[in-house]
Amino acid sequence: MLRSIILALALVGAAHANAQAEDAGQLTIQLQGLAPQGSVMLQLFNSEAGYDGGQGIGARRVEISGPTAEVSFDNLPPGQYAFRLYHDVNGDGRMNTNPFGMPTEPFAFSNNARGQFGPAGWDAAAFTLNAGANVQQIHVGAR
Amino acid sequence: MNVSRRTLLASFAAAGAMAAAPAAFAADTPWSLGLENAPAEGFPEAAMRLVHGRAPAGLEGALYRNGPGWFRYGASATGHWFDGDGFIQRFAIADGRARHSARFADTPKRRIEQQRQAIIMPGFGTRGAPDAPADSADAMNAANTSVMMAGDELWALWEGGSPTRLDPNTLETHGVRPFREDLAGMPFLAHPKVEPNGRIWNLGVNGSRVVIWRLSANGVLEDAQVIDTGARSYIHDWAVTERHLIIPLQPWTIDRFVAPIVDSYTWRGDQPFRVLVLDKNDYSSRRMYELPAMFFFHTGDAWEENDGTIRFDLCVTPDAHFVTEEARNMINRHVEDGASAELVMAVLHADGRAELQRTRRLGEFPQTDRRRQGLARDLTAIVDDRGDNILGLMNWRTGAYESFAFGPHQMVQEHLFAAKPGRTGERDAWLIGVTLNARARATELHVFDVARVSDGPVATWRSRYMAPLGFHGTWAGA
Repeated sequence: MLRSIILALALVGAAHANAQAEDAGQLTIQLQGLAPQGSVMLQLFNSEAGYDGGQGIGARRVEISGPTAEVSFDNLPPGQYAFRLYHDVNGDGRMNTNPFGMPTEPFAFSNNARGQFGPAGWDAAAFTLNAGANVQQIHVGAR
Repeated sequence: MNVSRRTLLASFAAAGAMAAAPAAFAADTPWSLGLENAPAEGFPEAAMRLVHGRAPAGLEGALYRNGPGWFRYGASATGHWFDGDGFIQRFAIADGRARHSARFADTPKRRIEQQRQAIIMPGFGTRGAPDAPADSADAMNAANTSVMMAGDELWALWEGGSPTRLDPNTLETHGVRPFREDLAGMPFLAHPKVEPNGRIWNLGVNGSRVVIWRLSANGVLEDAQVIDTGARSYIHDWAVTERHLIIPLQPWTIDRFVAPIVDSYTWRGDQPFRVLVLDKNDYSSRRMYELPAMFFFHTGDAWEENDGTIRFDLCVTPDAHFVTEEARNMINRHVEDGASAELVMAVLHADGRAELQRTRRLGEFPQTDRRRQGLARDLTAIVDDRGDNILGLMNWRTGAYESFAFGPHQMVQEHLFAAKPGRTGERDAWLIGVTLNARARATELHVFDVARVSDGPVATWRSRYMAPLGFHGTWAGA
């Protein structure tokens, strides 16, 4: 009997795990307009607090060798997400700014959102990730 | 800038006087002609008609002028005169004939607003749409304040962002190009100073931090250093001598950041008007002078005497009322009679004392002989602000003041010195500039002999076009 219960629980657990995988979302971020050098640094967020506080749930660094590149995240629970990225064109590992603090390397946000006098806010950058495939096409050209 | 308001007032008054008569434009408000949108496609190049005098022998080249030329899409309007899109005009003079053309600077701001047919971008006095993509200085760059030649390029200047590159013949825009990648988006004032040897100096301002630009004659970066002035003053113009950089620090300061930017500044009339003087060869060598509180936009030019005394002329008002109120209301076709600017001479003594010499001459858009930038000189031309649409010429050495009144139907704009070929004297020059002739509904190009300003123009050409009031220009002699 105990054995049956354990087996049943195991089956339930397995079924639940399978169900999670079936409900999960994949996010594919297609980057365009890139200068063919350096790398793109991207950070993914799933809450406004995390977005505002810089606490991401995932990060990617992608070497850039052509005008386009792709970044993907798998097994994401459906919900609200946002990401931000910059193109480290000169490969020095940081987003360069001019002496007055304005970025001199390309940057972008999910939804191609653009900020006013600063980074795009969560309201503009947040998008709904659904189960299955999700695609964001982002332009990262020079401004 | 007050001159334009005064000029507008005068024209308005003239219109009022003519309202009873069946004059062609009496039913209109002519002063607002200077604040109407220019045609979106600009002015295709066209010959101007000589309506007075004769073309001066030897006058060959092009006068370029810039100024706000687009203010509204229906009810969607800019919040301030200073935020109209840069409309660049070219007046080419060759073989005794003049031709007029113009184009808008093709900026990201203008593109998005033309596409959406609304004022979108925040500006100096414009709040902008909530979703405006204002995430860099050059996204908001109106390229609307002045122009300069740099090598083979014509640059349209703003003051909060990069120069915008134009073809000097076609006026086609070629975008912005940073002086150096790590300096992309740094501000560059619309009042660069060009030494007689061609070297270009300029500032860019961000609160109390100021970048000092030094460029070669063809616009290539030689040096850029950031200094702290210790004051968060609004700086629109400045001055240089042979040895020093002169940065006026007026008591209109930015202490917070709100939209629109003009509302971020506070007038502090209890504070002095400071003047920071830096050694061109060592920015750490600095002196600070103090003058009574006053507001300014424009300097004439500076020079230094043998005993170390520095003199520079400027046009001052008692406070910042024009920029905070009047230049806003002009967009709503409301013109008020505020204080006029007075042409004054600031004197900075070697012992640290500073004084102001007043002239009682009211005017703005001071211009000097650019062959003498930073050097001793006698003359300053101004657009006289007494309301009769006058071009004035101050002689600092003799105290003499000459002037010519165009008449109430003319809105006089900045006039520039243009050297006579092969001549070196300060009076061996022409003054060249434009008026908006409200009666003829046309832009006119005038040439004065500096030696005989009160005789009136030696030549006047009338355009088939009427351009809005502009700000500043440059003369590129052939």
